[in-house]
Amino acid sequence: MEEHRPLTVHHLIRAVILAGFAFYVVHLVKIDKLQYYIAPRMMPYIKYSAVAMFLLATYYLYLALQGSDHKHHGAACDCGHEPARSLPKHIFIYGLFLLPLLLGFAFPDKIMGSDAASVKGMKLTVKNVVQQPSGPLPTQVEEAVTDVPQSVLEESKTELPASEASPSSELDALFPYDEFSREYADLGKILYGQDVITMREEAFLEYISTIDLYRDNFVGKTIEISGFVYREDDMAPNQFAVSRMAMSCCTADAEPYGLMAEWSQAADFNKDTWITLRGKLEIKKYRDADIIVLNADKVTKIEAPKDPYVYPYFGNITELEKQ
Amino acid sequence: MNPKSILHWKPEYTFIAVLAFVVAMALHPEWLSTDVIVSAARLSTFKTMLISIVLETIPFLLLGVAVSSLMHVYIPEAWIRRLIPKNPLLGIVTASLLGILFPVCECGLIPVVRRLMAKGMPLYAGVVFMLSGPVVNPVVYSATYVAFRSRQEMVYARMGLAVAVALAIGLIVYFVVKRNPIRESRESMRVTFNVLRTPSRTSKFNEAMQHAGSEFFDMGKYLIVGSILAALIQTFVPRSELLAIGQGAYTSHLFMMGFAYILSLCSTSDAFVASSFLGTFSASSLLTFMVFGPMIDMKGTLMLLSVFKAKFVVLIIALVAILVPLGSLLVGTFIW
Repeated sequence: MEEHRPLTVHHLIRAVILAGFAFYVVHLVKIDKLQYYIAPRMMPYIKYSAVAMFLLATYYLYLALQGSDHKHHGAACDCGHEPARSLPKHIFIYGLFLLPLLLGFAFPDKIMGSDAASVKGMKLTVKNVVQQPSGPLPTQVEEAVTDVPQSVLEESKTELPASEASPSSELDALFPYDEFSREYADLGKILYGQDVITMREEAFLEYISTIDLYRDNFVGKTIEISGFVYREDDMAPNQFAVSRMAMSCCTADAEPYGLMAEWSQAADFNKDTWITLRGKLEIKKYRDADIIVLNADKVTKIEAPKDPYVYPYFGNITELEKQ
Repeated sequence: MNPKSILHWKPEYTFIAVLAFVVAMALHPEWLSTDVIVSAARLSTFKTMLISIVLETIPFLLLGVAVSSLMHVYIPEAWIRRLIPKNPLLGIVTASLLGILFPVCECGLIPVVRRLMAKGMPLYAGVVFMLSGPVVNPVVYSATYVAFRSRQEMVYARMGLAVAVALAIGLIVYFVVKRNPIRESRESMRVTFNVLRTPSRTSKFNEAMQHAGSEFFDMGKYLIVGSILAALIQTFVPRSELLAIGQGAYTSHLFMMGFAYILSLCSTSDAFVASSFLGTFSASSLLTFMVFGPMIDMKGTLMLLSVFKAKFVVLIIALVAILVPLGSLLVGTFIW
């Protein structure tokens, strides 16, 4: 009997840990907070995993209840990783598995905000991320024209000062692109004709990149953006950043991106307050670099969105505007 | 206590130190900073990071463990031998492309490679698969493609360099490593498997389940220690201070390797982090980041130590750390 009892205890502990993880995932799904931890495209996998862990837990429970019947398994299937160590070591190893569970249940689920952003380093400019194209490639100009909806061309016609060149080539000259920045240029041409340009959260990063890449064209345009308030120590009292965390799989790979905003009543908003801000785009100096800044007209406090993070957009980025 | 068990005790002290640190922090967050409010925010950030990293790795670990257990019970060794050509050169090339069939990152791959080697896959082929698999696979390809929308050459450079480095290391292992570097306890796998193969279907299922469970806890403990360390670094070490360390032509490569090592990101998502540095770091140092990280990082090292003897792990890390930046520099200088 002495030989089997420890094994039964191990089986019970393992059943509890596995069931604990499975239950924790179910708990997060139920309270609708799973998206605080992993990206939507990863969610199905963790849900399947919860089912698998629950099955494995049931199996361990069954083994524990069977007890000595399965003695031969301890020997036969022990492939070098069956428990055969000292007690403190076991406590330590199982403690490792319990740590995330304890943290998970004991502490409230919080959205990653200013604190994480300051450690990761807020990005207020994405211009460098995208190569500045040198000029339009003559062979692609015609193709590009067909991609721009007629309505946009007409709108831009009214806005642009009269010139001999046709509106489309005028637009092409404003949005030079190369093979790789073509999607940004296409999106830029569409946004250029809009009265109020909304930074859509489905493709937040791609929109910010487009605005930043062709920043000169968008000076004076009205931009609407939603995000949380973030401040750096060296920002002026009327400045803050409207930020989002861009995440691809999990919070470890999340990167904070934001647009600097200026508003006379900036002090009214604490950090991590969620707001929608509408303002005119300007280019200003911050830390020896020219960055785009929104001169706010209107700021509204909003509820934190159900899914606070933004994700890379896998489709063609112009399709959001074409709908 | 025999010498072997004393040896086995060694690494556990690190584990205990890490846990003690975490527990101390959980109990006294004010130790980290005089500002209690900041520390409370930090603790909640740490929790978010740790839970997130653990939740993200669990599916990959389970998949790896499941594949490994099914292989253990149902696939005859002869199949594995046939999968990899006898000719070492062909074998290495085949192994370097196996990732296309099995698209997971290293958390899922290491249990599988361990099993494949126990079933007769040659060491050099196993190492090549283990190094190239986390990069050369369709999931990582599409993630890198999206992250570098405007710099497509990065995608091909990443895939190409990963294959080249894995091939080179495979050849070096083939010619240099003569003694078996697999940890002894693992070798017993093959023996017990042959002797105690159970014929009935239910006991085969039992065996697979038992196996999956044991391997989940066996590999999982390394993964959790790695996740705790990665979460601590993500929470407490400001990137801006790190970035100040190295941006020179050569130092940036060294820095990016260290950065990839401590962040321990999954290869399916590291491209997005890399792309956020495009403005501040040279493209070739980012290539180093994206090839080195999936091959060797903190989480992976701990898992490797569970499979191989420490000496062999050090050899592999050294080779990767030399060949990857060298390759990136060559690509950066002569191809781009």
